[in-house]
Amino acid sequence: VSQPPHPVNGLDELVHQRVRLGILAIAAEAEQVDFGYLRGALQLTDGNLSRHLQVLEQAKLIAVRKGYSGRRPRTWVRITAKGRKALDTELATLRTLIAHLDRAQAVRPDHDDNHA
Amino acid sequence: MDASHATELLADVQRLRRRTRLARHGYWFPLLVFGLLALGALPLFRYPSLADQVGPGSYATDQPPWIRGVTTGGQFLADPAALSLYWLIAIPLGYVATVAFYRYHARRSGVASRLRPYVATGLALLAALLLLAGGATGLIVVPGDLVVRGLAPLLTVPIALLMLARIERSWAVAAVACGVGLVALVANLYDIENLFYRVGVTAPSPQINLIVLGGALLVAGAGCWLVTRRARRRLL
Repeated sequence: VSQPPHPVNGLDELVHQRVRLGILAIAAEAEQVDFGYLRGALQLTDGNLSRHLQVLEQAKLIAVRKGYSGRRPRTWVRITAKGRKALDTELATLRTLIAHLDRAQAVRPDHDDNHA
Repeated sequence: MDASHATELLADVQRLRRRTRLARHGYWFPLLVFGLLALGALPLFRYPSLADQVGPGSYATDQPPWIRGVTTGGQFLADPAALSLYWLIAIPLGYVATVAFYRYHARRSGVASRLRPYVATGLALLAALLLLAGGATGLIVVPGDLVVRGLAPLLTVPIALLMLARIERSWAVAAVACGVGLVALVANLYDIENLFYRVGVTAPSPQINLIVLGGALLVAGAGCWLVTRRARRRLL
């Protein structure tokens, strides 16, 4: 009898990374978000955030637009339809995984005690 | 990966989403703007004087005939055409001010909202009222009771606010829109001076309906501003 695939197989390494998941979650809440807002909310350095944005942009999960606000240069990040779909899939997989692990723990409540 | 790691990751995502949603909330602004614009119409809320009477139930106005065709209601007021023109200018101005505020807010907070559906809904409702209230087209589809007090254009404001609630993903905004909508409906359908009369207070008529509705918009706007500011301080 073939078993259904474990939910962990549904996780996308590119999206699952904590910072990149955070970027997508923030971008999905607005029409576009500023680089400075992302840096503050995720508590990252400029270089670190830039690298993650580059990865997401190359995967076409976000679109990056550079512009000016007065004389000040600003970078705006927008989530793409593909990015929104990837985020929804990731969150659904995480919920399924939590439910799966909780069920497994309920079936073997004294599992840890036996191995202690 | 264990369950606690996955749960922690999901909680992180929820926290970031809540924080971002809160950072872009600016729904209190249109409430304040439309409250002020509503009260700006007060000088136009008066009954015709006896001096304007040219025959039984007929009053003279100095306006050209084309303006008289533009009406969004208020037939028993001294100058329904001027009032309609006021609404047709003031309400779009309210949306222009709201868009300008949201742009300014986006530059400051770093989080931008998509306002086009909100503005389109508000303006489409106003255009529909103008077309259906009988002034521009001669079609009278909107019930007379709803437009007779001259406040029907303000009824479109809370309905459009429901669209803003959807954009801002906020049940609180939807609840405020429903509350203001209820006040707008009462102000359009009932002479509020009767309520004051019952408690022995003589309220100015016909202005009191406008004062109550404009006041409700201002109070809701100020309350929402306070709540948003407190929540932002707590979370950010």
